[in-house]
This record gives sequence, C-alpha cells and structure tokens, in this order.
Amino acid sequence: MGEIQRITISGFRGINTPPLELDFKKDSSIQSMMIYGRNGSGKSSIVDAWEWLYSGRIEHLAREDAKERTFPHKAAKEGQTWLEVEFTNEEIGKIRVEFNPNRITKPKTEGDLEKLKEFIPHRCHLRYRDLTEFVYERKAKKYELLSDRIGFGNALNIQNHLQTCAKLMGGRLEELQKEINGFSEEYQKTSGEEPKDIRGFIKTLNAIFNRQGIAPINEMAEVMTSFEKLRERVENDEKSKNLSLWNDIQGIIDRFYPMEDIRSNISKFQEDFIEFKQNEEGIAKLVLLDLYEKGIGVIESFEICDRCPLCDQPYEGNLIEHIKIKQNHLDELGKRRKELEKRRKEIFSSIDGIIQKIEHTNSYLEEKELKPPIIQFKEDLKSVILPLKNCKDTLEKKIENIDKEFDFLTKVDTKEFRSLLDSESKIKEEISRRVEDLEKDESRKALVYDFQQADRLKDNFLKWDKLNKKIERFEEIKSAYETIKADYVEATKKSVQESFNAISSDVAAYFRVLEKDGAVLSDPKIRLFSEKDKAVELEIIFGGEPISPAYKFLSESQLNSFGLSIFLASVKHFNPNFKFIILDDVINSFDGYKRPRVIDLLSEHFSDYQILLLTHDSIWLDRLQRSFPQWVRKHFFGWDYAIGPRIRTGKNSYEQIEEFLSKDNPTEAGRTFGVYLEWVLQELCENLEASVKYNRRNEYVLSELFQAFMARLQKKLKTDHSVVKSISDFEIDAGFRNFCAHWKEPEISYSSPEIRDIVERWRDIESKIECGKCHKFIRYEKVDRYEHISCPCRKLNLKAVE
Amino acid sequence: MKDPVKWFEEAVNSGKYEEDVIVEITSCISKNGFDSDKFMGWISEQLEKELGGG
Repeated sequence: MGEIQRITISGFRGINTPPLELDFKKDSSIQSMMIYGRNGSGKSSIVDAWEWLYSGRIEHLAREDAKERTFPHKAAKEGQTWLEVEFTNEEIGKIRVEFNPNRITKPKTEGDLEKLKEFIPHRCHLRYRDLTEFVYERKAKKYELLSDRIGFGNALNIQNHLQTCAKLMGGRLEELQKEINGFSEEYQKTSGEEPKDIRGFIKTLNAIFNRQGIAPINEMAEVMTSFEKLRERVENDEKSKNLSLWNDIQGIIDRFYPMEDIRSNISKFQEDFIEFKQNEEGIAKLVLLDLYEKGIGVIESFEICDRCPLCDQPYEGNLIEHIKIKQNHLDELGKRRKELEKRRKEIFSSIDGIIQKIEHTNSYLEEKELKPPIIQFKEDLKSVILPLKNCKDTLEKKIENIDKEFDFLTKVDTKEFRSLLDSESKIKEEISRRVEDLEKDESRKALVYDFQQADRLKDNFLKWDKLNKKIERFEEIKSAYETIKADYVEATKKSVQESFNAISSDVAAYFRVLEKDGAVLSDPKIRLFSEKDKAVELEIIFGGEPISPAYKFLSESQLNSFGLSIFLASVKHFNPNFKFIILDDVINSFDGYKRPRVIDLLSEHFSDYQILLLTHDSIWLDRLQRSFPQWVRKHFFGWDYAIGPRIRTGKNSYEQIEEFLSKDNPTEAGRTFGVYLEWVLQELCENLEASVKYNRRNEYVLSELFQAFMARLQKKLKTDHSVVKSISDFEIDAGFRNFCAHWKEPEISYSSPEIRDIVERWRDIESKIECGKCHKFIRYEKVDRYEHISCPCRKLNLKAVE
Repeated sequence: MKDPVKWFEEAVNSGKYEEDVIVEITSCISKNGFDSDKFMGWISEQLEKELGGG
C-alpha cells in the first residue's frame, strides 16, 4: 500500500522555509498520515499545494479572485516557492513544480505531470467546503461537475459545440428567411399574390403578355424569349423607351432624396476639434487614463498598496490615492474627448450613409442615356464622393490620432455638394414633367407599365425561386444534423447514466455506513433527468417514497454524507490505479456522534488506500489513532509567519498525559485524562446500551457515566468476571472517586504519582475491553436470543471468556 | 462513449444518417471539440455548389 513516499512544500501560502516535509515512511513501509492542528495552523496549505500540482490552479482561491500571485508565502524569495512529490510508482517518479514569477500561470515543472494525470483522472482531494458546494450546486452545474470528473469532459464539450452550431444554423436560416420575404413582398406588390411555384408565375406573366399581344408561354425556358419580345417593343418605340427610362430615373431619384445636410454639424465639430487639439501635452497623457483605471483594479484585487505593480518598486504611502490624484487631473480633458468621440462617430455614420446612397445611385445611372438635369446631377455625385471618402477615412481614427490641421468643412461644403442639396425640387419637377408628357399616349403608357411590371415580376421571382431552393436544402441538412445531434446527446446521457449507476451501489453502501441510524432513508441515487440535455439531481428514498432533489428532506449533515459517499465512490471507480485520498477537515461537516462513522467507512472500504487526513478535532483524532495505530501522526501545534506550521509528532491522549507527568505537571495530565475518559465512557455506554441518569442539559459527569458503564457490565457479565472485578475495584478506589469529583477544579491539587496510578489502572481495564485486532471497544448485541459483549469482529468476546 | 470520435465513426458506418452530413460532422470533431465554423463553411459551399450563387 502507498502511492506517495514524501511531499515537500516550500514558500507556498502559509508554509515558508525551511520546507515542510511530510514523510509517509514509517518502519520501512509507506503509511497513511493524520495531521492535527487548530484552524490557521497551515494545514490547508498542503491541500492547496496538491491542487496546484494537479490542476495548475486553486479553484476556491480563484473564485475569491486570489489568483496565482497569492500562491507564494509573503516572505518567500524567488525560487523558494515550490512543491515536490515523490511517488512510489516508478512510472510517475518524482514531480516538482516551482512558482514562475515571470509566467505565474505556468509553473516550472520537472517530472512527468501528464503521466500523473493519467493515473488520477478524477481529483482525489476533498475539502469541507467542496462537500457543501457540490450538494447545493444547480442541476446543470452538478451534471457538468460529475460528468467532467468521470471522464466525459470532451464528450460534453462536443455536445455544447453541437448545440452552439445548431443555433448558428437557426440564425442563418432566419437571415435567409428575411431575405426571401423581401423578394416575396416585392413580387406581391406587382402581382397581388405571394410567389408559390413556376405555374403561378407563368400564369401572372401570361396575363401581361396577353395584354401586349404576345403568345402565352408554358415553361420557364420560354420566359426570357417572350420577355425580350416585350423589351423590343419598348426599345423600338423611341418615346416608350424614354418613358421607361424616365420611370426608372424617377424611382432612383426618389430613393436618393432627401440627402442629409451635415454642414452645420461639421462646422461645430471643426471648431471644438481645433480647441481640443490645442492642449497637446494633456492629450498625450490621456493614454494613461486607461492605465490608471486598470492599475487601481489590479492593486485593489491583489491588495498590494506598498509596491507599484508596473515597476515592482516599493512605494511609501497610499498607492491607490496617489493614482486617483493623477487620474483626476486628466478627468476634465477625458470628458471632452469622450464627448468629441461621440460626435465623431455620429458624423462618421452620416457621411457613410451619404456615400452609400451616392454609390448606389451611381451604379443605377451607369449605362443609361441621361439627359439634363440628370447629367449635371451625376457629375455632382462624382465630384463630391472623393472628398467625402477622405473625411470618412479620417473620421475612422480616434480624436487624438487625427491631424490637427485637417479641415473637414472645406471637404464637405463644396459647390457640388450644395448643388446636390439645392437641386432636389428642380430635378423632381423636371422628371415629373417629362413622364407626364410621355404618358399622354395611353397605349404607350400601358406598354411601358406592362414591360416594367414583367421585368420586376421576372427579377423577384427568379431570386425568390433560387433562394427558396437554398432554404429547402439548408433545412434538409439541418434536419439531418438535428437527428445526429439528438442521437449523440442520447448516447452521451446513456453512458453518463451508466457511469453514475456504476458508482451508485458504492454510494449507497457508504451512505449506509454514515447514516446507519437513519431508518427512513435508503437507496441514494444520482438521477439524470431524461427530459433535459444536462441536468442531474440527487434522489433518496425517504419513508418509502423517492425524493428528488434530496435536499428537500435531508439535513445538512445527511447531505454531506451523500456528498462524501459520491466523492469516495468516484475516487474508487475512476482512479483504480491510484489509491490515494486527501480529506481536509471533512468530518467538520458531520455531527459529533457521526464522526466515528467516517472512521468506520475508511476502515471498512478503504483499508487498501493511502490517506492524508487533516483535522482540527482532537477527540476525533484520538479515536482515529486508536483505529489506525500504524498511521504517521503529525501535530501542527502553532503557526509562525517566518516559518509556517510548527510541527511535532502527533501524540494521543496517553502520550500527552505521559509527557505532562514526566514534567511533573499533574494538573494538565489530570485534565487531559478527564476529557479522554469522558469521551471513552460515553462511547462505552452507547455501545453497551447502558442506562445513564437523565438530565435536561444532556450533559453527563464522569461518575454518572462510570456508574452506568459498571452497572451494565455487572448485569450482563457475572460479578466475579475478571473485567467486572477490575472495574469494581477501580470504582471503590478513593483516589479515582476523588478524581471524578474534582478533576475540573484546578484549585484541587493532585500529585503526579496519584494521577499516574489512576491512569495506569484504567489502561489495564481498557486493555481488557478493546480488541487488539479491530481496535474497537466491546459492545452489546443480541443475536438469535444470545447476548454478546464483544468487539465488532468478535475476536474479543467477554461472554465467551466466562 | 468516453471517446466521441469513435461514436461518430460508428455513426458513419451505420448507414443510419444522411451520408454527406455525418461524414462532414465527423471531420469537424477533434480533441478540441466540434468545429462549428468549419461545418457552417461546408454548408455554404454545398448550397453554392448545388444551387449556384445569389
């Protein structure tokens, strides 16, 4: 047994130098380790270091915005922040990570970290807070956490990407739909009905051809031939041709006007721009505004008020205030820039709109035989476009980057620009006059009208038809895609559920150990919601009924039993080749009477695992030591800024008592023994189902517990049983009676020999009621009408001894 | 299922799905996930190829 031989940590979080060395070797074999220390003694720095090695980050710190910069101990110098782990598996060997101040997110690594991750696909460390967080996490988050940890990370990633792509396809289809609706509306305006199919289109077109004496058509292939016949009729008649041309131009001009007069806005902008540009020195410093803002954010998040984050030099005084003063000096100029920037963008947008109109109009007028006043109109368009584009290009830059000499007004306020603005009514009147004149002949008017109608119908229908086919094909692809996606999601869910099922029997077994007195609770499960893509909830049978989510009826302690069971079952299933677990103050989340069950769970199901267990509960530690005497023990008895945790070998209560007695400190020895004896007697009374005198405070004094314990054994064993005799002799001893009555009163003094005598006599009794094999005390059990006073493994059976 | 590439390869061979679509989806799968841009590009190409521009 044993995956890790040694962990050495230097200059990391609460651990400074000399490095903290955790040697798991004891009597030439690798053992588990228990570390006891009060809160703040540096225990959690060990788990943080492990997480840093395993994942490169420390999740709970990242959530608090305490990122990599906070990893080194405050007093650690460069090169002193590192972690080294020696693994027993030669394939992994030794791995060392060192904090890299130049790339804080990329520690310098020696050894095969990838190989380690192969062996540990599932995280093997658990903190108290992890338990509570997981239990209360949202359904979807729970699913992701669980699935990722059991190896479905990539599968879920693909699932998410497929979902995103489906949305993209939906969005693209919507765009195409909008586009086709545009053609459909145009077609409808001309024909009075929506485009449906080729037959409908040909029918509408034939009505026009019929009016103009052109033979009806039957197929799409004939459309162009008949349409060209219609065009020839218009082209061959000079006046019809002109009418058609002026109709087109009228449409173009109606789309061009009104044109925005931007001259006054530009004139005002020019004035303010010149004034702003005069403060060249201030403008040059404006780039610092962003830096100041970000600098304050960085300093606040890292709480580093004594050192400049840019030059890394010490700063005496309040760095944030210093930066804020500098920031205020530039504030006024910054506001003016902001306001000018807003106007720059508005004018840019106006000019861009005018340019687009001009280009659009120019392209329509191209290749048309123009007559006054359109000839002049087109010339003006050509003249204004270049200066406008020049303005637009300049306005694309930020204010501080625009040349202070640039003159916007002379580029816009030109003779041609004014001409375009002023000639709107004149051009429109002239076109109307010409159209009216040419429309005097009704047959010509009808011919031109039909030709233009047919042209629009043909144009919009062909575009509509092509796009319709595109949409149909797109929908076919999307449908095939959705089928594949749905099957993939279903297959993923099935596999995830299978994995959940694989750990479920272990989850249930572990939960039963932790909650053995919860008769109404049974069969805990991780349940996948089939109607949703990603949702998972914890379910439990409560009084015969399945309850989901389980937190509806479970206490916090019961939920924590659920969480711990899931964690341990996952570690067992998904790290089959790496039997190592770190538990940081996990028992803290359980009620006192349940804490020993965590020991039972580790003892029954994880005896082949190497465990690093950290706790601040001293009583629980005593019990842990009794159950696992072979484990390495450490005691963090204090913490020092310069060094980190102060460490000595962890001692159980008897070892502590011995130490006090060897220093002739009977008061502390007696106090330690009293606390210990109270705890042992409570356990014995519970095990033996002894009747203890009731009190409302639910507090028991030593003598009451002892009396109950003795009376129970006297009743169940014969009075001449050697164990009963030892206990009775002990009880009538004046020294013990005196101790029971007064051990909590420091003014009553005992001598060291007196305490030693009491402790040794009790140890003698204890040796007769504790099993040497399973390290558990005797308990009362009635099986098939036969009463046992024995340990759980039955090796020690007091009734059998009789 | 922990290896999605395998699922898609089997899907191609199953004959259950529209062939060109499942083949293209599979070609867009890698250890980094599914390349949506590549797939959307392929759709545009298909529409252009089958139905012409516009």
